[in-house]
Amino acid sequence: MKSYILKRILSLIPVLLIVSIVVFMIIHLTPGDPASVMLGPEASQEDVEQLKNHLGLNDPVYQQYFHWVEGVFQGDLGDSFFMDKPVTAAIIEHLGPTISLAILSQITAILIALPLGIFAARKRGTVTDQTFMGISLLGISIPHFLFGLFLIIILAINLRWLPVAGYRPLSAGLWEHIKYLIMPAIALGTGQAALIARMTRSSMVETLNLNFIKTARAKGLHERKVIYKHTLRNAFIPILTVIGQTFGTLVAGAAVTETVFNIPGIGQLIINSVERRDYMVIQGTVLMVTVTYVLINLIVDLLYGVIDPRVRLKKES
Amino acid sequence: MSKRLKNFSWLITVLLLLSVALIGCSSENTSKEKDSASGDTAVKKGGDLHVAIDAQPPTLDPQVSTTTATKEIARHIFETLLVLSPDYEVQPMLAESVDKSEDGLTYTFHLRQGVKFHNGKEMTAEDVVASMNRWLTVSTRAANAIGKGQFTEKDKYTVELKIEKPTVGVLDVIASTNQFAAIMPKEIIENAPKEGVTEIVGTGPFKFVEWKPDQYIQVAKYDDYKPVEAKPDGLAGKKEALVDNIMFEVVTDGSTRLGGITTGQYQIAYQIPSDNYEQIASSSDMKPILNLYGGLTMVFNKKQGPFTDQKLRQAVNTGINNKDVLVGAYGNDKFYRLDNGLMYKDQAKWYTDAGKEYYNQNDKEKAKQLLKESNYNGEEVRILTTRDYEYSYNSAVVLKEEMEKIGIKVKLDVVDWATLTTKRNDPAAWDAFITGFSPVSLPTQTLPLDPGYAGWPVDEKLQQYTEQIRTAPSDKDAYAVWEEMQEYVWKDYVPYIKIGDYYTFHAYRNQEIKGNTYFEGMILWNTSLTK
Repeated sequence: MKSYILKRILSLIPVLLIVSIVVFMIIHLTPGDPASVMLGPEASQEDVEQLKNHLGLNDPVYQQYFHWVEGVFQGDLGDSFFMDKPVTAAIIEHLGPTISLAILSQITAILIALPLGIFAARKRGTVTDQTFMGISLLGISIPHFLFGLFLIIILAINLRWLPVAGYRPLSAGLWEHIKYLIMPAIALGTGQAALIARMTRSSMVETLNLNFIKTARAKGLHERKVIYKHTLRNAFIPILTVIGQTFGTLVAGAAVTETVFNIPGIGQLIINSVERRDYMVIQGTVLMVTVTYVLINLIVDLLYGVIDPRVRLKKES
Repeated sequence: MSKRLKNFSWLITVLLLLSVALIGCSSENTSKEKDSASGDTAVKKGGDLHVAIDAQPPTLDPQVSTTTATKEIARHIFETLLVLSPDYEVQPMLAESVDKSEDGLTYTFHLRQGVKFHNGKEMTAEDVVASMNRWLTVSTRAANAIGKGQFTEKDKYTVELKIEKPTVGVLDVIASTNQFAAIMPKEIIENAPKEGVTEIVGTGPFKFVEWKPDQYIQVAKYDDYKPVEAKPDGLAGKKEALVDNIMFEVVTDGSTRLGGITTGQYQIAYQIPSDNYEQIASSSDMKPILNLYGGLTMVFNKKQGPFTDQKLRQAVNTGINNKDVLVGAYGNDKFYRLDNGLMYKDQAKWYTDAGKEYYNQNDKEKAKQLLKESNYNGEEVRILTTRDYEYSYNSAVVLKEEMEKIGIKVKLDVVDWATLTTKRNDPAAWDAFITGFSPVSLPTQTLPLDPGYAGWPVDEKLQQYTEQIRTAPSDKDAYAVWEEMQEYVWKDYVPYIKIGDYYTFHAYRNQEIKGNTYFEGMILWNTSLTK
């Protein structure tokens, strides 16, 4: 098991190397530079060039890359041109809102998706099943931000129950913190719920057709036990994979939703940094997102063993 | 009832309950709004003012950056020696008075005494000298207008500016609002990196408290602020911080800013989408502030490509229908003004309509004739534009159509704003680009007439005019030359086409705040929250 984890972690190195080169090249080959953005639209070319020299942006690209990689190996992702702080600090600051939002969205998604998926699977082939799956298709199809805007109109503007947008940290109080996240969590969660519900349904339907379920029923087990103890547990691996993937997507930052709700998370950090060409922040954030994504997938793989003893046994043998 | 319908009954019940709740709450809300509209609006001191700004400033150092966001926030923290009143007259602020020597080469600034920086230190001549000399170095625009100059300390409260040759409008430039000459403590200036000061310390009515990147910038009332006694008048006169804090909240999405101002989450919201103008104007809780943002402009590349040909530039200027372009760009006629003044109508001192017969001609036949006389041989011309500012893209689409009508092939090169600002510095990459220029204090500061600016208007006659304005014996003489110069720009040289003036709008909650004014940006001192 340990060697498996080690192998997976080591496999991160080439992934990160490739990601870093590709991201660095894309950013640096795209026209636009932080000096022009910093000095504003009416700055003279002369002033922009002076600042570019000062920031080292006129050095050859390969030199800038090696300089940056050297720092990364020492745990230094560089400094943001705009935020007057190290990239690591900027990422940590923006990670809080994103993680809070991701957790709340995921809880919303699971609370909606599992009962819906299980219910649809039990009623497979009926109108209820088709309606629920139709609704979930709608959930996948509606863009999160659009759903978010509808929520703003209803819950914030018409009803005045929740603030339109913004973010308060947990230190401002639990309710203060959560009330700003409810609408974006619903907007994101329902989209993810649709995916999870569809996966839950199909995986449950598949398992319900297996012989051991027939045996369980023939033994006279209570239907609830058949569904929750035997079917759901055996059907859970693909569901868990989807949950893991959706969580990864959420942590990587729901850029547009964060912008609509003005949540200063990773998604907004990436968008803003691209707009203002804050090279160091873009590079650092993409690297961080890659690591997070790979690690979440690793954790999900390890959880397979916890849920399904067969996987555990295979790995051990 | 069939079993299937029974399965749905709970869902229908929930939906019905939800609709009843929605209707009930909406009507309650309407009555609340009515109460607030007829409510008391007495002034109260204190409280927090929430302002939604559309972009995060790259820095709060106003000497370095020309961005609007920097100016809007920094003007509450920093002050200048002189300021402009709404009619563009120079008024004192940190300088009590200014003397000009007879030869016009020396300006003596007498500083106000007892003015304290936010760090408690008294402002003296050494701070002013350090600040002003840095400003002359970092602001090319200031250096261009003033020429070579040097500030020196005469005594603790007197500063002298010596310039090489007599120049018109020195004081106007020192008082200008964009990339302004903020006075900061000497120590901070000396340690400032090139990208802007790291310690935000000024003398203004509000002091800097906190900057949470991508969230908010907080400024708080400065208790030791020493105002001038004159009546408040735009940026001039008495300033008083009537609220405890101003929270400039960074809200990049236009619809979110609109939602926030509608619900009262913000008392002021910048740059509301123009489609929502009527909604705000007809509301009893909110009022729009229309503000002149600048001139919509198409700049020609005069260094390389087809527009190096003056006749071709004249052909475009003769053939286009400026009104159509403005309608395409802004829609509502409240957001544009047809005017050919290269200095704006609001700037009485410099405004002229010279050359107006060459503006908005919409004469396609004459344009075709000029096109024939030019060296244009049917090649495609590239107009650089961006969708980051919808007006820029929309106007480019109409301009393309207008130019095609007279026989010029046009290709739009649509990029993001950051790309545009870099690409326009490369003469091989474009033939024309669309942008907006904000008002400047002097004609000699007009960017698209600066030979070093993208477009490169290197023209002997133009430079002669510029020099004549700079060194004119009086403002009156300078104005006469400017009139000639503007006529030359429209009639002959046509380095760029000012399509028209354009406005943007901000919104504020008129039942919740009072005293806020506007001059080249929001003025939030003397602004209070009502009860």
